[in-house]
Amino acid sequence: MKSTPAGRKAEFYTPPSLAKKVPTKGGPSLEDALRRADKAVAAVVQEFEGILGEELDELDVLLSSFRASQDEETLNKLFRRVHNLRGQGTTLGFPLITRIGTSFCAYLIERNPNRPVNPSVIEQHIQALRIVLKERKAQEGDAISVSVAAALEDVVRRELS
Amino acid sequence: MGVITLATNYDFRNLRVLVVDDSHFMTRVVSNILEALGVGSVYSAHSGHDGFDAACRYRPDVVISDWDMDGGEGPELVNLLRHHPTSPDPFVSVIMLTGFAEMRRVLAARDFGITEFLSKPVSAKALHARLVSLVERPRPFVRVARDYFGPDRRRAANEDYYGADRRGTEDFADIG
Repeated sequence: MKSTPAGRKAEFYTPPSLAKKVPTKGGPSLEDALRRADKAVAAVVQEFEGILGEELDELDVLLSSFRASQDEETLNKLFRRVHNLRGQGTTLGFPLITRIGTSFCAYLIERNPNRPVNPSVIEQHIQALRIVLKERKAQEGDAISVSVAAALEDVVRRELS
Repeated sequence: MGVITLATNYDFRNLRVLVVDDSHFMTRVVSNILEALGVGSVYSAHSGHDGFDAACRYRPDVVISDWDMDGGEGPELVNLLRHHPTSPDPFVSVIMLTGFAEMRRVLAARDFGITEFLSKPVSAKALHARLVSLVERPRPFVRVARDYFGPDRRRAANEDYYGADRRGTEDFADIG
């Protein structure tokens, strides 16, 4: 053990090497592995698209509940669900869901705690998520969704200013 | 410091990987990718606390954890793995998953003892590259008084540095 320039003691260790468990030969080629991985992810993406509608219905229920109660617990539930969608979106082929989710999360995280949450801002985000899903199903591209996402970001900017 | 020549047929079948994410979809995506890459044992958990329990049970070689989870966050899991007296392996490799928007937080969080970062969206190629990095470029661990225990953070500052010992404290203990 020796001292750092700041006078603190530093001790170094060499952890067990993973190289002992992972030979550099004998596994699948990278190309084969990536091809298999793409197929495996595609199956999950299809399933994700299937449950997205149910997830949006659940957000509607939570929003109705929040309108009635204005309670923090329901707001947290809304936040968690949209936050999860945000994390999944880009990986599962829905980058606009990530963008809209980011706008939603920014609104709730950065808002002035002394100002009440505006339910219509939440509603607009949920509607935007529905538009993304609808456009995707109709295979119409993302033109409308992109405009909606940009408009939402403006709404949040105004609400936060 | 020589250039690493990467073999393309890594055999991950003996590797044990634990995936921790509160999103079941993300857990499945990452697990499916790992299995496709040939990882032999893949386990999953859905919160930081469950992740620690699973790590105690399965003793993974690598933990891949989301940063922001309901019911115990990623940094908390890393803290438990590195410091808790019942941790199955304080030296376990940890890959932290994070969204782009969280990068600033993540840079500050090197102090938690994370081995590698992987930004979302997760791709098979990026995940493969992280696993190869853990195998080919293992990082020594360092304990600095009571301030820090984890992978040596200097690698991130300058990957190619190979001059004199900048900290002036090199004193390795092989625990392998």
